[in-house]
Amino acid sequence: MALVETLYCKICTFPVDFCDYNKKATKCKAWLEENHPAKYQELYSNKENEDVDEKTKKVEESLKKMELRQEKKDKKELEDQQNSKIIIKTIERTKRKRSIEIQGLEVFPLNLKKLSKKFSNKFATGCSIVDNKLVLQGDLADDIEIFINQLLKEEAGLDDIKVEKVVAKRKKTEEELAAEAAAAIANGTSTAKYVKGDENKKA
Amino acid sequence: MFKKLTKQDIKGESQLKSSFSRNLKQELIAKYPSITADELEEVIPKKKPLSLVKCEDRLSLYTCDNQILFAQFYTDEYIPHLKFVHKFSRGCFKSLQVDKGAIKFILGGSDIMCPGITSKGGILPSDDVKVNDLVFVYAEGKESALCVGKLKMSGEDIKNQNKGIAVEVIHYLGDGLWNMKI
Repeated sequence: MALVETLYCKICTFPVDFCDYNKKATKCKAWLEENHPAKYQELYSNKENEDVDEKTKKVEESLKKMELRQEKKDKKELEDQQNSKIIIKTIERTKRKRSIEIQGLEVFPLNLKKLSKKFSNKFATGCSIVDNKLVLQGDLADDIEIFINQLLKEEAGLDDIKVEKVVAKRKKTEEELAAEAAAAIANGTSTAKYVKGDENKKA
Repeated sequence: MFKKLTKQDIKGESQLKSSFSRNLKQELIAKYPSITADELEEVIPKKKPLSLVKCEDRLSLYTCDNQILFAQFYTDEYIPHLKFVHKFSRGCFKSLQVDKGAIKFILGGSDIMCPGITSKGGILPSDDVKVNDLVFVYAEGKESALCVGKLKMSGEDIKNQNKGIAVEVIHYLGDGLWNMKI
């Protein structure tokens, strides 16, 4: 006797014959049709012609409702993600040493623990998780902004997420900030984001 | 039982000795006589060491190649992960079948009631299955198992009383254990 090979759905992770009991059934069907057309035929083609009795009809209806609810939830989640902001905060530690705190990553389907490893590998610094925030050692705000944008595009398929850079308030840095902001205005568009963040902070 | 299991419950991971995997295989073969050693070898290769993932509340998970194979409370019976169950044909295990109407509720985490088994689409467990045995539940018109549970009533009782909880569901498709990735 050989092992039984079960085909699992990539969308809902269930074995394919249970896809229609999942909350994402429509997406599952599309996936199956595209990737395993033979299996799709086997599962769904003869179903439409069958006479359905009262009971199965009821079940199907309730399943449809469930799916709709899930869809709404997904939509809201996506909206949340689109609206949420990632804040990169620069914190001055000692005179010339800075650390970076990244806030607002937990809304996205990313694994913070893995991400922290990735950061520490990529930037060759220490990176740790403190209450859902990533803390990196070193003044890396600019690099991280680019990296996060790229990461979100690749891993989550999300574009145009707002990334805001903030410098933690301190007396010493205030002057620098003003100078930097002035420089940014002089430079024009390239650092426009920075200026915006700065204004928010003051207001 | 695994409904709320998440990654945060993991306490630590350690590799197991190869002797453990040998013993485990022997135990499995003794328990499920229809499984041959060759088949088992394919699922749990000698080359790849098993590892033990400890979780909250004295729950241990046995994994191989980042796939969960078994779960265990304290030192109780090994509860096979459904992906493990799916690898073997239906005849290997003590099984029963439920009708279509029950699937939805099982996948929501509810226990199995008698009528779901006694109705037209269901199949009662065979006579040699005793109360408190681990049973694998299949569904009408579906190939794969959808949950693992503990039998709470004998086959005879299910038929005669036809009321109340027949199977206590432990692990089902889409619960915390199913969605856990290590």
